[in-house]
Amino acid sequence: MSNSLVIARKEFKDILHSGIFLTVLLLLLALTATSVIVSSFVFKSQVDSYQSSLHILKELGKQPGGPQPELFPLNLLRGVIDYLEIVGAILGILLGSLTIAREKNTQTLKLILTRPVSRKDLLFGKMLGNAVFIGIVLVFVGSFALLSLVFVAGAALTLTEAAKLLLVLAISWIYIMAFFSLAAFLFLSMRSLSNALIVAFTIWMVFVLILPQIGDTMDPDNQVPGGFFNSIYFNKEQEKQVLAKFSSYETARNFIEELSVTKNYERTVFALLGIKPEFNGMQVPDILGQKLFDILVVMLFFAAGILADYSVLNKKDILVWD
Amino acid sequence: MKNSIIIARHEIQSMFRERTFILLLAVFVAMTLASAYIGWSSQHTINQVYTAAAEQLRQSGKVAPSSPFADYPHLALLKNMIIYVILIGGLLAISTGYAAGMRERKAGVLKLLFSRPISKEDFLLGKLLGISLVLAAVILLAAAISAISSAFLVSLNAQDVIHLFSFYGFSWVYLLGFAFLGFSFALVKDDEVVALLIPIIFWIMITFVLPELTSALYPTGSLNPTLPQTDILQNPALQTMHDTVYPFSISEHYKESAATILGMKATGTAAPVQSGILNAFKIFCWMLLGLAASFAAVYSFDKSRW
Repeated sequence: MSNSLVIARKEFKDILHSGIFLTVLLLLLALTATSVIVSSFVFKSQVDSYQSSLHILKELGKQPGGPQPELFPLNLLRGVIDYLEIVGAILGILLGSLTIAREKNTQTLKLILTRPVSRKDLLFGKMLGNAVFIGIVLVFVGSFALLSLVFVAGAALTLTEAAKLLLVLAISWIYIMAFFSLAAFLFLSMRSLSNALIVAFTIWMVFVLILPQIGDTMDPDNQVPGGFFNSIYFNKEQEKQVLAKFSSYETARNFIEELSVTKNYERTVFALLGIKPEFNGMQVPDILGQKLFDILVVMLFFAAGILADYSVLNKKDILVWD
Repeated sequence: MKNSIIIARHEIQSMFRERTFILLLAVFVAMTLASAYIGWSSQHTINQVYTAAAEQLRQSGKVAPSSPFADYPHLALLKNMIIYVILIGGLLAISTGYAAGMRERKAGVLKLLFSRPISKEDFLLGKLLGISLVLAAVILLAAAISAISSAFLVSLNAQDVIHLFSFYGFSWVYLLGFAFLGFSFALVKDDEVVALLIPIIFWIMITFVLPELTSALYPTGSLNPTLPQTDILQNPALQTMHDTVYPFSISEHYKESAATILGMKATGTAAPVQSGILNAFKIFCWMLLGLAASFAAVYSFDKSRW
């Protein structure tokens, strides 16, 4: 255990000293602020639009049809989640690649293993150091999001909302660590570092961008700017009635989306943030219960990554590196 | 010139031997093959969804609005390709340029290369030519696949085929910008990972961040080929942000111009959509910017260093 801690401390220091730390942290913070600013402008625009429609209706002597847009502060973090999906996964890949590349480049693996350090200690130490670092980055992002909500959108969080935000950060941590372990596995298994990096980015592209994109573009509602059902003045109930006739198409679309761990992550955190309106008033345990499958998939992806890292690190020929 | 051609030929041969390039190319080709079917299948289903919705409206005594998909052009089934060029093509281009810039450095043969009568100009020209031809081959392959797969699903006329190849030609110019950027950073950055990371950060900014600032699109919203509804920009702050950032939003210019070339209504949004020619000109400027970065990188690098 003490060996792992020493390795973890060394790992953490190495990350802090590399330029990657500051670059990715600043990028994520800038993206967080941008997203909250744009989302709060969009919300203000919706309120203005509602007020102006209300004014016109009153002048015509009519009653307003829909409710006034209500601010749910956590909804403003949707863009932040999108960035965590994309850039967070890149951060995981970079850290996973660097942790192995460092040993390969300096040819220190043999040296470490000549000491009384087991391969389990090595893996655990490396994971711990990076996990702490990712945790700190997420705490920064969460705090910055919180500050942006207060100062830009003028929204304060309730205790339940704060708890939901914490859970979102915890799930994001698992998600990023899953990509960390995937990249570490590729860098352990492949001889060429840049090849391993490109393979990691290709897998990232398929899981994070392509599979969700296919599911998204197959959605009938996404075919017209502003939504197809909106364009023919259908409400949610009518939309459901029509789509019920195309259940096999919707099942296929859902299946494609579920092949992507990113979509499972997104569904969980979107539910917690109340981005789908039906989850807004729901209690945390109920949300977690409904999204149990998605949470399990994200955790399974992470667990599979750790197992893969461990099994490849246990191979005898791993020392051929040097 | 002769040296440049030799370097370009070597570049092309090396690229098609690289496993990572082949991997990205395989993903790109697979998605090109799939895109026509995905487009056709979703368009087919969506027409049926419209018919069912219209029937429901008629039964409740209401008049059904005309189908928003009634006058969709044949090539609209390739609309997903616009996104695949931005996503997969962008990364493929960066990795092509990066590999071209990194190859001699990693093999430690730069000193050897320049001990021969080869100038920096020969080197640069050869590399740029090699990158451009590799990407041209990729694009031609994708265009051929799209033409054949589309012809199986819809009847294409000569004009459609011209539009299809124009779309891919335009995409080639867009991708060259990223390839040249990847090449530049591979030459100037000491750290291998950072050299790849910087162009990828540029790609993220261009693909996700700028569209969020100009059209209030969520980052993953940029993955939808349907152009955004931008009524929201009536808000003064968002409008100002749009006006300031929009000229630099390369991926949006590409999306709009590509949609126009494929015959889709790029002007269906309320946003101040600029003329197609101006958008296309900006894509050329983007490519020229990448070219200028490559020139600067080659002239600034110390050939005795690696």
